[in-house]
Amino acid sequence: MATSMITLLPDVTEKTGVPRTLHVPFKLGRPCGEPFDFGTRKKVVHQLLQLTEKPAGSRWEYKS
Amino acid sequence: MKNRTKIKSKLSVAFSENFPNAYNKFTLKHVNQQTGFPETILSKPLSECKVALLSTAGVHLKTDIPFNLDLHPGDHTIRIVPGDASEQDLTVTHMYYDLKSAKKDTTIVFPIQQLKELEQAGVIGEISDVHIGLFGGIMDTEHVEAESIPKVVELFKNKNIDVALLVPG
Repeated sequence: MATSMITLLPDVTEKTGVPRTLHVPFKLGRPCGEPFDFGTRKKVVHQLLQLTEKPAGSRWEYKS
Repeated sequence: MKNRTKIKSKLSVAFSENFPNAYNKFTLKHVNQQTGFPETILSKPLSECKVALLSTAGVHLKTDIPFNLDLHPGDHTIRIVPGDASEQDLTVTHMYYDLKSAKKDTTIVFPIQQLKELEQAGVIGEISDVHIGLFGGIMDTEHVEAESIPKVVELFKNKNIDVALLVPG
């Protein structure tokens, strides 16, 4: 099973050894963006899915 | 929720929002360093994969027993979210982030609707009929590692999940 994780605290997820992370520029408690901003939400999920195809250790920044 | 928990929650949220760098350092200090990555390469294209969500933002069905925020070192029990759950069926229980936004729109911590849309668009093969909600504010991860995670892994393996998307709070 491949996993990808959204991160708001990249230093922390790096230390915990998460295989793949998507660093998002949002506030704590809003990992997929602002309420009702469904366009952003879809982009986040899509990028997170694409990341699962990459090798462990991949670190991506969210592209708006 | 006990008054002591309410005060602790208010202080934690204020700390994280007003002093993000200090909060980051504090969190970093309380995380164990892991070495190496579990290596799993997808054996098929995403368009054929079965995908599940796992959120540590305290997501659960409104009909579920909420996470117990008064428990020390944190409620490590799991909540199963059915694949056909709508946003109106879900809520969040947590104490370490401001819940106002997530209660207005649960997709900001549990983007199940967007995953369904990507399934319809053929980006993924199939959305799982089970997803997982956890409370991520665990100070001592012993029970999570010994009980919760093995349960989740077994459940996902039995459901033939290819991809798990992990979403924090």
